[in-house]
Amino acid sequence: VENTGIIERIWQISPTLQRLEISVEPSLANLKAGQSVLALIQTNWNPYLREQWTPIEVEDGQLVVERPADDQLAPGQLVHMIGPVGQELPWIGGGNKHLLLIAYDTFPTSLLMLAHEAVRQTAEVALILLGTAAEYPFAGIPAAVEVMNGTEQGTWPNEASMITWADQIFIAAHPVFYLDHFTMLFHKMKAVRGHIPVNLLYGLFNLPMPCGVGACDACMVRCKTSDRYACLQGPALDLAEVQLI
Amino acid sequence: MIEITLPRKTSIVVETPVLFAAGVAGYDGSPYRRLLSLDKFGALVTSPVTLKARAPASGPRVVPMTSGFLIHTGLPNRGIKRVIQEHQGSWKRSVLPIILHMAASTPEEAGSMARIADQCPELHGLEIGLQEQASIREVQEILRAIRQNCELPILVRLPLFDALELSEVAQRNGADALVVAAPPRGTEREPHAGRLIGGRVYGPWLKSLSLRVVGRVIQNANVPVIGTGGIHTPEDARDFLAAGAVAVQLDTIVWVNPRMAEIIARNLGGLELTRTAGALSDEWEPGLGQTQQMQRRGQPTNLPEVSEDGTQSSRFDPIDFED
Repeated sequence: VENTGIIERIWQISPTLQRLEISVEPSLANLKAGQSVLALIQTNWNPYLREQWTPIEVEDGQLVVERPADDQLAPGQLVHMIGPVGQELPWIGGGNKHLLLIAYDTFPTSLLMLAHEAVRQTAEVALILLGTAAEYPFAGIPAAVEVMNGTEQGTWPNEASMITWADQIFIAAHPVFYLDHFTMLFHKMKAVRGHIPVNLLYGLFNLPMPCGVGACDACMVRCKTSDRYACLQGPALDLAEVQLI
Repeated sequence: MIEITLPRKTSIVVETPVLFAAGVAGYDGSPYRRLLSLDKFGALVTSPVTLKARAPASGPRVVPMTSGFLIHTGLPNRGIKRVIQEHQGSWKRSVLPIILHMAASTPEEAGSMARIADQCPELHGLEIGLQEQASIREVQEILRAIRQNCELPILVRLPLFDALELSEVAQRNGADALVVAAPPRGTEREPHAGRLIGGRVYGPWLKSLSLRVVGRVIQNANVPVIGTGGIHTPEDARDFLAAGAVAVQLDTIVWVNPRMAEIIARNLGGLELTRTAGALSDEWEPGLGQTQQMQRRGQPTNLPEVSEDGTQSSRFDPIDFED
């Protein structure tokens, strides 16, 4: 649905990032981890396309969203939103589970709501920051999450043990280089585990979405069985099903 | 009621002169079922369909630009047979006339697709998108192939920069309506990958280019002309009607601001509820549309005028479109 939210509060968490608390109508107040909204603030067509905002938390009818610090935003400003876009991340849930999150050349924003949720369920959560993701401020990450920095080439300490430790793995990658990164990490994990079963390894396809409702075909992902829309069936798609390079 | 194709046994008649352009609302409008009142629109042109299935493009597909963007999808679709099989049911239930948009590059392909489409009673018409580099001869052969294999009304979507030349060829070879014009192709650098990407470019700036071409095409048109390109407000849409178009197709406004798309449809359909700021209650009545208000005030509505014999006239000034 399309509705309007109000920016209630803004605070900066690092020199490059700010967080917004946005009051929304009930239809958007129950967003789940991974779901997003397509937001429009200006109506002067610059930027022309709506921006995809993935909340890092939803509390008491308010979305907490992360934006670049140089976005000119102010409390009281209206945000026109279409959403929810996409499905909840297919986290198996439960305590004592091991969740491995990886952000590669993109900030881990789209993984943070899942991290919060998993921590609440007393799961053990590790977050690997690869490439430019390592620039993400630690202040933005839940304290109970173990954070590790890796390299630009996509390697990190204790790779093999982390990969075998995980019950589920979710990877967020740069919206342009995602397929290269997903392919490389898929093969790395396959080499360690021998076999990648379904429901183990997911890629988050946070691709540019002009419409967000499955009309424009811009976010269609090539899969082995039938192609899928990231905006409808995503953002998380099982990498065992995706047609990788 | 507005007839948007030549009067024939099977012409297309719409209630509102505002249509969904090819590719903006899927195959049946279902992506927008919860965001828009589809019945406020006139007809739906489907996403492009090819003879055989096509996979989505790989790599970056969207490049933001100043006041617009470039998109390259690769025209993913499951091929005409599968598309018809999968959507025939929803087309049957559709409140809108459905026009199938065909992307065909050879006469053989076009003929085969037309033959298949002709057997689908739920379709109200075909729109063929002509490629930018299409020669006059290719256009002739493609349109003849479609006409020979199909009785449905044929809408020919012309490329923006060759519209004038190809409009004559299209009319001579069986076009029942012209759609002016397809969004132009452009090339833009994707900032992250550093690669140049080719695709169709969209934005509000497109309206002035398209409107001019519509005005030029209409001067020599013997078939109805549907205007499209960069329409973002009711005023934009009315400009196309003022130029003589019988209807308009909305493109990316549906994606970026669906609410405005519906306002345009309601406005031109005489369905928009409006109330002047500060108006007294007896100056407004529920159900009064802007078109009716304009008519009452004696202002031009720019809607096509239908004379007693059923023919439509336009109110454009040809001088506005001269070089």
